[in-house]
Amino acid sequence: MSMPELQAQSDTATISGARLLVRCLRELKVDTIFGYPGGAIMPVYDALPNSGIRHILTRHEQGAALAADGYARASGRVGVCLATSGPGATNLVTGLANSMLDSVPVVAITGQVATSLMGTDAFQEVDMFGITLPIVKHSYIVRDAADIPRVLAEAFHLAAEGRPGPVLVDLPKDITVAQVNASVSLPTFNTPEPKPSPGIELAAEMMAAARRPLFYLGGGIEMAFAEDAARALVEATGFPCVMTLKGLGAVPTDHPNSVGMLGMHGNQAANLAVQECDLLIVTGARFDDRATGKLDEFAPGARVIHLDADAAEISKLRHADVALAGDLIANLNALKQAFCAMQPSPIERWRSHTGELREKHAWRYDAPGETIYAPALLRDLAEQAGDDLLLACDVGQHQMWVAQHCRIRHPRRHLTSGGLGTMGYGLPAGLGAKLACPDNTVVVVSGDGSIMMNIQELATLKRYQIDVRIVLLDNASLGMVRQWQELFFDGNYSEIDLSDNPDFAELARVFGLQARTIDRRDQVGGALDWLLTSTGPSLLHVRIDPQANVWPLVPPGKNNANMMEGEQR
Amino acid sequence: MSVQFEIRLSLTEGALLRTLGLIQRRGFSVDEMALRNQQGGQLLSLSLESEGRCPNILARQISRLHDVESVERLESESWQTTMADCVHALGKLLPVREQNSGVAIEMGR
Repeated sequence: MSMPELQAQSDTATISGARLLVRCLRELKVDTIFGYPGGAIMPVYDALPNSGIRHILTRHEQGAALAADGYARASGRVGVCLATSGPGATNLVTGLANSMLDSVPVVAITGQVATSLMGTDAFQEVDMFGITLPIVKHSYIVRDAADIPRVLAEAFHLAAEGRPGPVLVDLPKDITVAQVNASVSLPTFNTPEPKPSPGIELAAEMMAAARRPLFYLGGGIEMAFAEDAARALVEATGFPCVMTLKGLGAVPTDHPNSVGMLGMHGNQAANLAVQECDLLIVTGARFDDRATGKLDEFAPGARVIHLDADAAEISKLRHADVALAGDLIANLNALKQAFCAMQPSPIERWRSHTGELREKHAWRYDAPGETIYAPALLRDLAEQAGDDLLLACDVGQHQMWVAQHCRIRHPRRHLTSGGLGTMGYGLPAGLGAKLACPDNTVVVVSGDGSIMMNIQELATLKRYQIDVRIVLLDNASLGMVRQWQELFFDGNYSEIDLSDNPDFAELARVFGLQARTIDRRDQVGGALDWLLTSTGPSLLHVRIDPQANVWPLVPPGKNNANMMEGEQR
Repeated sequence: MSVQFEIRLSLTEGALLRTLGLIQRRGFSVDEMALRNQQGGQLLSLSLESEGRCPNILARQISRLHDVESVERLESESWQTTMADCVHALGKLLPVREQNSGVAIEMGR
């Protein structure tokens, strides 16, 4: 980070630390904050009205943190959440961990007891700074109100630069009521001109010499806004590509070079292509265990070129023959230029082979029976909603079905909790995304287990008339756990039954949403029409077969060539 | 395997805890450590033990912490059998770093 240059202003009046904080947030172009008030943060709430910043009162602080995450992912800007000390702050923890594991730029501002009381077990005192050390990119306790501008400017800069992540600002109450100079002197940060890394020529030579090259595209592309550069390189080389869960949309999933999603619930074509390739160009991905399966049998014949913004990810789990750490766009552009100057090996046979794999292992939608087949419904949803669809998923079977069957054409149009796997993510993330992208059709796809984790945020949708549509796939159980118990625990079903769920459509109506329930296949078309054309927040409750499983599946500890298939229901 | 690191921390709240926490979370245990204020910051000297984890990856993970100004991994010389030896060596080397006769690998941020 470069040294800050202070931009002093002439205003010499004094204001409270809280008002200075709000003024700084406005200077930092914050337009929306997700939060929940309480004792220690009250001075900040006192300063918020008429500040020009929209505050969204969620009904739980976890909802605020996850909404900020969804806002950040959809917009590419820093999301902001606000909570009081003690339980308010600790309720943010899951959201912060979620943002950390998925590298999402979020600034969390928490109230704290007065500095004189810190360390005395005061009412609603908790060591939030200590609790969150492992799950934030950086954190601050503000000890002097005059530091507020510097701390906030640094926090926003750090959250977004390099590999993004959450930053915590813990704000003792006496700091927020202290009188300080009203002038805002925000430091600015010089970002060095991105340069390609050494090793580009060698990487391009390897790419030109490869006979079975394959791109492995991850969520880092979205975070670096590098999708145009990634697509340009994929198209210039003609190499096929596979994508991770978070990388979906880096190249449109229906792009001719796309072989699909790799990993535990990826498609067979993608996983087989990885196992057969002789060069893997890993871009913004980190060899996550859900993507690689048994790591030492992953892509066994491949040399590796690894591009990542974070040097610490390179060679962490798989040796990189060429490491290209640094700015992803600069490296992708340089790689394209270097590759185009070379005479590449013919790869037509390989391209044709991956095309055949894709055709042979294409998804099938001819499941027998009259019960609603969730993959087909999700495919139809994405087709009917069109290109402005923004999907926010919860976690479980439906999350995998969305990744498998929905056409995704842009990485910031598919929000999913990939790293932490946070049940309850979808609804608040979709809420945040809709506020960030009001012109998009935002659809939350959730399950009957996940939706109950943050069901209270239906009240937030209603309160602000946030036009989010919800598809709730209800299999009356914790489906993914049930599937694993069926397959790997001898059918010993333990604590997965949710057959006493509330009537979700009725529940949604109680919260003030429009709602419908369907349970037959012939109802799907009309119900999707209703969902996508109705006005205002609405919920489509879809009863599906409780025995439905996600296929294919790489069993734990196996390599990705060993995919299980089963009955489609 | 035992490895030695010399980490320069900024004088900021939580710098030491954040760094030690990361080291332990990443599968390394701290055998010996020494900390002293130096040149407006702090110098943390560590002897770490690991099984199967790469110290160079750890160094990169440490170096991306905002509180960390630099990380150096010191190659042990044969006579440096204890952390005290390493610290002694560091103490001798630090004032005249250009005359450092040991092998230090600078980990860029």
